[in-house]
Amino acid sequence: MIESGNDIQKISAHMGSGHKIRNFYNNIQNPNDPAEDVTVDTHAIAAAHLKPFSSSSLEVNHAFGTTPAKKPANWKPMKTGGTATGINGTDPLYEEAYRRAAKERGILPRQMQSIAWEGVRAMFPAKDKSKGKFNEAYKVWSDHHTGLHDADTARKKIDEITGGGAGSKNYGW
Amino acid sequence: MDGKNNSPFVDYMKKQGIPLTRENYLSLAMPDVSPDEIGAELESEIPEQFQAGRDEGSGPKVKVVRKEK
Repeated sequence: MIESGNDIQKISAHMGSGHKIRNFYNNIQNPNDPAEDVTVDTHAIAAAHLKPFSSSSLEVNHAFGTTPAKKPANWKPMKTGGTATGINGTDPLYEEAYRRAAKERGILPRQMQSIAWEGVRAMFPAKDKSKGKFNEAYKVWSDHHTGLHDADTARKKIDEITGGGAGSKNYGW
Repeated sequence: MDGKNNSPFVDYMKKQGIPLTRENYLSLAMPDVSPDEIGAELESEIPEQFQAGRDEGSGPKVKVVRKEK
């Protein structure tokens, strides 16, 4: 930043082709920009799914357009959108989801992301998540997808799994 | 954007004649991170040319000495 002399072309080149760093820069540099930038990281993706994702989760790899260390069978590396679209991974889907959720509540997308980010980290604390304490959450959503219960029931079950998690208590979920 | 990071580490590698490989990049840019600990988020911050699952740069590998944790 300092060495760039505020030359946005130099700064932009160093931010690479991914979405996260560029959005993070934009959120800090111009937090009220009408472009509604949203910084989507691992926690933001976990919050969107309400699942205890880690940085090795498949969905997180999909979002960042990366290849997991333990590749599932039939895994195909993502092709970047390149200069045609500028899109890498499924990140833009999450950005749009945060924008829509924020619009419903009359707040900025980056504010929605911040609230969800804090909430999901409180619901699924890293020290417990790494021990697999919340793995039942995956089954809850799997059961929802097979029609055993609706989404609201799934959310309530996950709230129970997390012990009425700090997320729901602190953020009114 | 041209789809590649203009990383100062890559610039340094080129300037010093260090072969442009993932292993060499990681040893310079992320000396304290074990390659096994690199998750999706961190992986996405590595220049595309060195990301796992993509074509690696060609050239001989140099011996990498990692700092003890």
